[in-house]
Amino acid sequence: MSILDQFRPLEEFEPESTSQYVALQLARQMRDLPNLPKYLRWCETFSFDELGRAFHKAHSTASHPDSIPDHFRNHLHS
Amino acid sequence: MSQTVAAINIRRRTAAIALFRELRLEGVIVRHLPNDMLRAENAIVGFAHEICNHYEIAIIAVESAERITERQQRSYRIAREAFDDESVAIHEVPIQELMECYAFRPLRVRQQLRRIARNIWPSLATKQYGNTALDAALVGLCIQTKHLLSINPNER
Repeated sequence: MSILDQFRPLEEFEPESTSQYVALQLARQMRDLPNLPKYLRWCETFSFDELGRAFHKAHSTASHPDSIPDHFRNHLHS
Repeated sequence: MSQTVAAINIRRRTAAIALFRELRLEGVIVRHLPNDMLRAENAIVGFAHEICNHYEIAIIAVESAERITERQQRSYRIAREAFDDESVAIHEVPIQELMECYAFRPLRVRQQLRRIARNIWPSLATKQYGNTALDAALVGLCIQTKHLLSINPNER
């Protein structure tokens, strides 16, 4: 089971901005974890604040918040 | 990287082109089409060439023609020929792909897609633009994001 499979709220997530839409596509890519670093580099080229908020919204009621990848958890807490 | 993706949507009496540069929707142009088919086709050809002359278009994005009228099929064929003349690549997106990429759980009906489009681009939620513009923007963002994510960041 991938990390994202634990985040039921993500299934109810609908984008409200273009950056949130990209966040959604990145979330899909996170299922393919070996490629994650490539997409995280792309995050830095977009509005990371918006991406962070999108993930925070998607993961806010996650049953295992510690499973959020470090890159995103660190950003959300910074 | 800085090139523009132009997404086109054509209906019986309107055609809309949504222009994306990176993640920004730079503009939406809506043209009303004459009722006469021949004049409408000329308007579509003129619209396509005008867009290509004014913008550096990298990709034309268009929803795959499914369950559309014969008139719309002709309109899209004319538009494709015009963009072919300009040597611009055309990328088609099936409606099912749009339904799947705008939510984690695939959407079921087009109205759900349009609701998301209105949330993303509130300025398009007016009669001035209408559903033609919303549908064009949805296709454009889908293709533009694919385009951006497929570029190797190390080669930028």
